[in-house]
Amino acid sequence: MTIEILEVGPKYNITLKKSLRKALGIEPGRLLIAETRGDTLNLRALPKDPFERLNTLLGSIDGRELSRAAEEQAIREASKALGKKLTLDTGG
Amino acid sequence: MIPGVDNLPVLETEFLLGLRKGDKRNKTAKSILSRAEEGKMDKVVIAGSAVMEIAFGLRGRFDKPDIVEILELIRGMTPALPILNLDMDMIIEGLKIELRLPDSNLFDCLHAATALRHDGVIVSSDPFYESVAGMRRLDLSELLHE
Repeated sequence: MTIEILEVGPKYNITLKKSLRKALGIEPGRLLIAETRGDTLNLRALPKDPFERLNTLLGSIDGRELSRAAEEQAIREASKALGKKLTLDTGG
Repeated sequence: MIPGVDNLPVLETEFLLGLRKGDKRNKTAKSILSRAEEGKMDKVVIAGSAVMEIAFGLRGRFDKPDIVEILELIRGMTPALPILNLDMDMIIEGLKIELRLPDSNLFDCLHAATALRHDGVIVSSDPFYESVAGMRRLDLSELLHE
């Protein structure tokens, strides 16, 4: 684990110290996801080649196939959630 | 912008899938991203329904952490392209389109409704959109023509 104290600059910029850059393998141009949770700021580096990573994850899934699956899944999940709420509302 | 077209084009799922390195539209999708980062695509938006389509469509065949990673990657790659989220009027309009075109897909209808809210121009190769009244379809590559 690497812990550093960073100072917010006049334009709210923050410079990542060398130890942090080294720990995460960050170079200029690298994309980071900044996520707040309560009073915590979490910074995560996206993969060096996000296009390649997306390709690996998604594979060759086809748009039509995705549309059909999305429609079926949306209907399934919405029906399930609505059915549960209707049951609760009517005391069934 | 596109010559002779005073519009605000809406990108749908095809663009998001085109961000895959192995996709045949990857080069065009990357060019659109570059233009957007240069501030030359300031009127182009991504349909929120396209993000939902990916989130729903991958459920059941992908692990949830992978779906989160996929959506975070897309989010990270498209900071210069705002998401136009669905509102109730768009959902109603999407369902009306679905009623008029019985063989249509729910998400295609929601993308169409999003585009109709945003001047009626959708960026897609899917000829379905040509059957929606008031819609104009552009191919991804047409967005790059000046």
